[in-house]
Amino acid sequence: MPGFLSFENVTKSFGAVRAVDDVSLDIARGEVFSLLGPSGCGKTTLLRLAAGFEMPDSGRILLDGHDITHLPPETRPVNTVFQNYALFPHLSVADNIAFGLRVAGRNKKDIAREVDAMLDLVRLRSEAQRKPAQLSGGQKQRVAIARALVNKPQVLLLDEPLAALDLKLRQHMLAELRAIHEAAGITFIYVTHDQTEAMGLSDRIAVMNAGHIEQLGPPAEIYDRPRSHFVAGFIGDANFLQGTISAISSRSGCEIDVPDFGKVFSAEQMNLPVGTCVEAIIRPEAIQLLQPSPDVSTSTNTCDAVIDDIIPLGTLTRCIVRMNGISLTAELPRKMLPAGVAKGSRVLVRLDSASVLIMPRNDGTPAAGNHCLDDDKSVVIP
Amino acid sequence: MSAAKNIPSRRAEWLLTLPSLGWLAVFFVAPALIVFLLAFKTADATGGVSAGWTLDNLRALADPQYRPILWRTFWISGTTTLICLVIALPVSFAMARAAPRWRNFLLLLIIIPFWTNFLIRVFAWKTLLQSDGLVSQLLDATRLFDESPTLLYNSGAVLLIMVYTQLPFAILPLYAAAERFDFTLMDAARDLGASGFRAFRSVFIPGISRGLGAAALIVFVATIGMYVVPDIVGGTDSEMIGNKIAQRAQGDRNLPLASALAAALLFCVLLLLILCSSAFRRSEKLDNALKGELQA
Amino acid sequence: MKRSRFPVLVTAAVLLFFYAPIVVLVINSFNASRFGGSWEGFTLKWYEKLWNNDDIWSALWTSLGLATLASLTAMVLGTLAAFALHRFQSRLQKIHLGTLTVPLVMPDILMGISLLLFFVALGVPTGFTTIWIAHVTFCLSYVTMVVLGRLQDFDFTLVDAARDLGAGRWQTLRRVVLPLLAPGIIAGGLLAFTLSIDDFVITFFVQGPGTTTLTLRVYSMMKVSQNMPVINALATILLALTFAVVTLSFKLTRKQTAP
Repeated sequence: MPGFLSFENVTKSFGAVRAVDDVSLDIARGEVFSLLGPSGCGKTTLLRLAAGFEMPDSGRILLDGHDITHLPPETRPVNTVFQNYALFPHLSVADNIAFGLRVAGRNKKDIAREVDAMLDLVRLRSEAQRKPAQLSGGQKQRVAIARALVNKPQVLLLDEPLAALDLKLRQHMLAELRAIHEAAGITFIYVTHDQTEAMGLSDRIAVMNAGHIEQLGPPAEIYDRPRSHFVAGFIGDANFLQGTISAISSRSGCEIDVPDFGKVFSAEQMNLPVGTCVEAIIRPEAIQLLQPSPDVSTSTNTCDAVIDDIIPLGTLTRCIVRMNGISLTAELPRKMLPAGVAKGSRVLVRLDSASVLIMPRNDGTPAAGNHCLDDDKSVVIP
Repeated sequence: MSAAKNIPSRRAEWLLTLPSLGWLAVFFVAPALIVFLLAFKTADATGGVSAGWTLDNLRALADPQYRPILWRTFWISGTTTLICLVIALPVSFAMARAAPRWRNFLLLLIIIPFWTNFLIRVFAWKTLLQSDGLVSQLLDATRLFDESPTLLYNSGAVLLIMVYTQLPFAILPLYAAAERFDFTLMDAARDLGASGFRAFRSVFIPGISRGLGAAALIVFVATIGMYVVPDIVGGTDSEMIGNKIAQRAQGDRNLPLASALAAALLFCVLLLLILCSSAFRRSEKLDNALKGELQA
Repeated sequence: MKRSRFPVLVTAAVLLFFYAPIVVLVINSFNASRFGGSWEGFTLKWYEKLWNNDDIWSALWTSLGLATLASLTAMVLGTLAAFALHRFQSRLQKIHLGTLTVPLVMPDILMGISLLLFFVALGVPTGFTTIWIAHVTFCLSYVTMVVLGRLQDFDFTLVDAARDLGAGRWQTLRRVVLPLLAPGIIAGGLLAFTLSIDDFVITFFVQGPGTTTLTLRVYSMMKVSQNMPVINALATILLALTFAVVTLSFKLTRKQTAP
C-alpha cells in the first residue's frame, strides 16, 4: 500500500549524531499515527523533517505522491501543533488563528468566517479577544490546534502537545483530540514519549529508538507482541527472565529452562533450536500469586517465592516477589491476592503460559561452548 | 534550533554584520590607530599636522610638566576606585537581601542619578561647595573653623565628586553579582560559627569577586580618562591627564602632543582591558575545572 | 539570627548622598536668591529667563535633532548587529562582539580625541555631521546590548510556527519578530537618545563652529559662572525628563508581555 505521507530511506545527522537513521515509513490518509520513544530517539526530528524545519541528509519525503523533501515549511500543506504551543504573545486568540489565512492573503470576510468556525470547534468564542498569556494551559492547547487546522492542512503534526498539561487535563484533551480528528478527518502524526497517550489515540504506533523504528503496528499488537527487548521495556512494564530453550513442541510452543525458577512454558511458536539463549518476557498482570498448598503441583510455570514488598496502586496492588536469585514484579487486583499475605509471606508464583513471550537474546544463535552468559552468572547446559 | 539557524548563510551573516562592524572599524578602530600614528608627527602653525616625523612628543611625556600629572591621575583614580568599592559593597549586599519589591525600587533609585546629565550632577555640587554655598554655611554654623575653608578647586573636591559620579557604576555590577549570590552560604558560615562580618568577608566577598573586578575596572578606566570633574571643580594643582589632552587639543591646538598624551592613556586602558579579560577568562576556566571535578 | 543593620544604613546614606545635591539644585531653581546660599522666597523668574533665552532654545533644537538622528541610526545598526551576534557563532562574530564591547569601557575623552584626530587627518571639517557620527559610534554598542538581551529571551519556535503557518521570511519578520522585539529596540533607542542628549566630552572634541548642543551651551554658562539659577531651572526640567524616560524604559525592558 503506497502511503499518503511517505518517508523513503530518510537520514538526518546533527554533527556526529544520527538523529534519524535510514527510516522508511508509510502513513495512510486519515489515520492517527504516533511516533513513540524516549527523548533523543529521533521522533521529533522526524516530525520536523515532515514539517520542513529540517532538511534530510539523504532520502525523500513524499506527500500524496509529490516530493516535498526540499520544500520550505511555508509552502507545505502541513501544519504543526508545537510542544509549548508557540502562540504569538502579541496577538489575540482570534488573530493567532487568523495568522495563516492572513499571510495567505485571504479576504477579510473569509477570514472572519473561518476563524469563527474554528473558535466554535474548539469552544473558545468568548476568549477570542484575549491574549495567550491570559489563557489556561488547556485553552492555549486548543488555540494551537485551531490555528493549525484553520489552514486545512493535509497532515497535522502534533509535537508532544499534551506534555505541558497536568494529568487530568491530559486525559480530557486526549478525548478532545479524538473528537477533533473525527471532525477534521485528516491525517494526524502524533509525537509523544507517553505510551498511554499513544495507545489511547493512535491507529498505529511506531516505536522509535536511537534514530530507527523498532516496531510498527496497532497499539494492541505492540503491547501484546513486542518484538524487541527495548519495545517490551518501553511499552508498559515487563519482567525479563534469562533462560535456554530446553524443549520444543511444534504444536503447542516451547519450554525454557530458567535458572532459579525452573521450567517455563510459552505458548509462542518459536523457530529456534534447543539450546538457544532466550529471554522470556512476562507482563506484571500475567503473574498469579497463589496460596502455597500441597494441592497445587509445583511444576512448569510455577515456583515458590517470598513476598518482598507490597505496594498498593489503587485498583491494582503491586507485589515484588523473590525466588532464589531472581525477583519479579506482579500487579493484580486486590481481590486476587491470596488471603492474609504480607511482607515475608510465602506464596506460589504462576505464570500464564499464553502471556509468556520469548525472544532470542543478542544475536540469538546458540552460544559458543554451550554457555549462556548472564550478567553475573553462567548456566551450563547439560 | 530554529529554521533560520539551520540554513547556514555566509552572505546573510555578512549582510547583518557589516553595517555595525564597518561603522566601528572606520569610526572607532581607525581613529584609535591614528592616535598612535599622530603621536609621531609635528604640529604646524595653523593647528594642523605637518608632514614630518618626530619622537619629540613622546619625549615630552617625560617632561616635568607632565610627570606629576600622570602620577596624580593614577592616584586620584585609584583612590576613587577604592572608595567606590568600599561603599558599593555593603550597598549591593543590602540591595540583594532586600525584598524583591524593594529591590526594584532601590535599583531604580540608583539608576536615576546614573542617567542624569553628568554636567548637571557636577554643577549641583559646585553650587553646594562654593564659598557662600550650603556646605560652607553648615561648616560655619559648627564654628569648627576660624575661617571658612575653601571647598572648591582642589583635589579633595575632585575626589569627592569623582566618587559621586562613579558610585552608580560600582554599585550596578556589584549588585548584579550579589543578586546571583547564594545567600544560604552566608547562613551556613554563621551556622558554623562565623560572625556576621566574618561571613561577609570570607564568603560574600569571594562569592562576588568577579563583580568586584568588573566594578573596579569600569570605575578606574572611567576616572583615569576623566576631564569634566577636574575641569569644573578642580584647581591647577588637581589637573589630570584628561585636562592636558583637552588643553593641547582645544586650547593651544597642538594635536600631535595631544595625540601623544592620548596614546599614553589609550595604552594604559588597553593594557588594563587585556589584563582583566585574561584574568576573567582564567577565573572562568578555573570555575569550569572545579565544576568538572565536583561532577567527577 | 540577627542581621547587621550596617549595610542598610550605608545604603540610606548613599541615597542621601546621591539625592541631596539634586534636591538642593531643584529647590534653588525656585529660589529668588541669585547665589542660592539662602532662601529668599519662591520665584519662577529663572524659568522665565530660561524660556526667553534664545541661545538655549537653539541649542536644545540642535541637541534634539542630533539625538533623534543618532539614535535612529544606532537603532538600525544595533538591531542588525544584535541579530548577527545572536544567530551566528563564528570567529567573525567574536571579533564583532569584541569591537562592540570595547567602546562601552573606553573613556569618553579617548573617543573624543581620536575622532577629532581622525577628522583632522582626513581633512573633514567638524560640525553637525561629525557630532552625529561620534554619537552613533558611542550609542551603537548600548543599543546592540539592549536588543541582544531581548533577543536572548525571544522564543524562536515562534519563527518556526509562523513559517509553518505559511509566512515567508519577510512576513515572519514583519508580523512576528519585529512586533515582539519592538519594546527592546525602542528601549535601546531611548537609551541612545538620552546618551546623545547627555554627552558633553565627545561632542566637545568634535564640535564645529555654528553647531552648539545643549550640553556645550550649559558648559560655557557654567564656566563663566553666569546665570547659575537659569542652569538650575534647565537642570530641573532635564531631571524631570530623565525620570520619565528611565521609568518608561524600565517598563519596556522589564515587562515581557503586555496584558
